Amino acid sequence: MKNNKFQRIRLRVSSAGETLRFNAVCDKGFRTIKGIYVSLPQDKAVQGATLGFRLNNVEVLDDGHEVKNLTATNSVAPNNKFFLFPEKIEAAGGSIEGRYTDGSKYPLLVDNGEDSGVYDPGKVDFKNLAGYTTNPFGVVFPYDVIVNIWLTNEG
Amino acid sequence: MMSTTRIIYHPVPFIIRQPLTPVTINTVLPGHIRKVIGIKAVHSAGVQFMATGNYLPVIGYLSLEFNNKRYHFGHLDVPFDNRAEASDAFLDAAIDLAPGSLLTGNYENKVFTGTDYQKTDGTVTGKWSNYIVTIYLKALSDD
Amino acid sequence: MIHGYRFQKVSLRISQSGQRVYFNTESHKDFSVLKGIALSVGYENALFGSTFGFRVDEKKVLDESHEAHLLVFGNDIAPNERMLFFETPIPIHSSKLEGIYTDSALQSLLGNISYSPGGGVIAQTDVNVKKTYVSGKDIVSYSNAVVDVLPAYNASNVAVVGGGGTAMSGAGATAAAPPPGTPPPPVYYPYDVKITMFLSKQ
Repeated sequence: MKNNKFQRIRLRVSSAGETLRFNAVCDKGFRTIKGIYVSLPQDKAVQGATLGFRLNNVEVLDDGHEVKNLTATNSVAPNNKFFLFPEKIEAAGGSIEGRYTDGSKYPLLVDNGEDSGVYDPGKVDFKNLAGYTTNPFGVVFPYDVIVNIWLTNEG
Repeated sequence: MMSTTRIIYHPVPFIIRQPLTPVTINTVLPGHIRKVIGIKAVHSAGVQFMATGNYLPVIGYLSLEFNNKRYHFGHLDVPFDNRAEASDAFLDAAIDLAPGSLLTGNYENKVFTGTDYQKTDGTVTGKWSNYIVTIYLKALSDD
Repeated sequence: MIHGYRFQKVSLRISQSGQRVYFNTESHKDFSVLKGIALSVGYENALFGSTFGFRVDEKKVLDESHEAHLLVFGNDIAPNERMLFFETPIPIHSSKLEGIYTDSALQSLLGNISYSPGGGVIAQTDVNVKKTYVSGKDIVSYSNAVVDVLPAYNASNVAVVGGGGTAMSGAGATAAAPPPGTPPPPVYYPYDVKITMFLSKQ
C-alpha cells in the first residue's frame, strides 16, 4: 500500500463569476489530508477566484479563500507547489463539500452596493450580478480547474 | 493582551530631491524600540517615472549607523523593483538600541545622474523625478 | 469542532486615487496567536506607493507608511511562504485588529519640498496625515468602515520656497507628476484589497 495519494477533483467553469459546488469522498486508505494544490489552465483565471471546503462538516478553508494562495507557477519546484495545512487534517474516508467561484468579474464581483470601504463577503449575492459582465483579465471559458488533494499516511 | 516584547516594523522613509546631492539621514528612533533584528531598504516611489523597465539592481548606496553613530551597519545597495512579487527577506541584525538613540547615515543616488537630469547650474530637468526610499527596521518593541 | 488555525480575512474596496480605508475587527475568540499577515491587491499597478498600517489591541505592528507591495506575495514562491510571518507571534484574545490602507500614499509626498534641497527623512507627521486609528469602544463591528480621501496634492501646497533655480515650478504637481512621455502604469478603480491574517491556537 502506498503512503501517499493525490486525489483529483475536476471542475468545469463555463461562465464568468460562476460558483460551483462539489462533493467528494477522500480515499479511505489514507489518514490525513496534508495539502492542496489548485491547477488552472490560465494564469489570468487565478486572480479573484476563491475556493473553500469543509471536511466532515468542519471548515478547512473558508469560502473566501483565494485560489491565488493555493496555486503556484512553474517557477516553484513541484514538491513545493502544494499549500500544506498548518496541522494534520484527519481524512480517513471523510466527505468533502467545496465551493469554487470564478474570479473573472473581479473586482466588480464583490460589489455590495457600496462604493468603497470594508465589505462583507457574506453579503455578496453571487447569483445576482446583473449588469456586471466585465471580464477585465480576458479569461476564456470554459476552463477546467483541477483540485489536487494530497492524502497521506505519513507523519 | 500583548506580551511585554513584541514585533514591530518601523519604516524610515526619506526623499531624494536632487541627483547629485547625498541625502543625510538623522532621525531619532522611537524609545520603545529595544532591538533591531532585521533591516532592509527598498525603493518606494518615484523611480518608475524615470526608468523604462521595472527592475534595476542598484539605484543608490545607503550607509547606516545606529546608537548615535556608535554602531555601523555597513552599506546597502538599494534596488528599484516594481515587480509584483514581494519578499519578506530582511538582512539579519541584532542591534540593542539605547532608548531614544539616533539612526544616522547617508544615501547617494547612483542612477539618473547625467546632465539630462541635472543641469550644470544645479537645477533638475523635467526628466528627473524625486523619489522615496524606505528603510524598514524589523524590531522588538516593549511599549 | 474547529481546526487549530484560521485565515481571518477582511476585504476592502478602493474606488479612487488617494483613498484611505480604515477597518477594525475582532480576532476570532478561539485563537490565541497571530502568526502572519498578507495582502492581495486586485491590480498590481496599484501596489506601488500604497501603504498599509496595522495594529493589534491598539499597538502598532505595521506603521501606516508600510508599503503594501511588501505584503503581497507572488505565485512564484511556495504557497506556504506567502505571508509576512511574525518571528514573535502576536498574542491575541478576542483582540482588536485595525488596519488602514492608503492608495498612492507615497506618490503624494514626492513633490514635498519642505526638506533640505537634497532631500531627507520624511517626518512621520507627513505620512500620517491625520489620526487614523479610532480608539474606544464605539467602533467594534466588522463592517464598520471609515473612508476618506486625502487632500489632493496640488501646486498650492508645494509653494516654491527660496526662489532660485532648484525650486520645482510650473503648473500642478510638477515634481510628483511623471515627466512627459513616460505615463505611469494605469491603475483601474475600483480595486479590492484582501487582507489575510493567520490565526492559530498555539
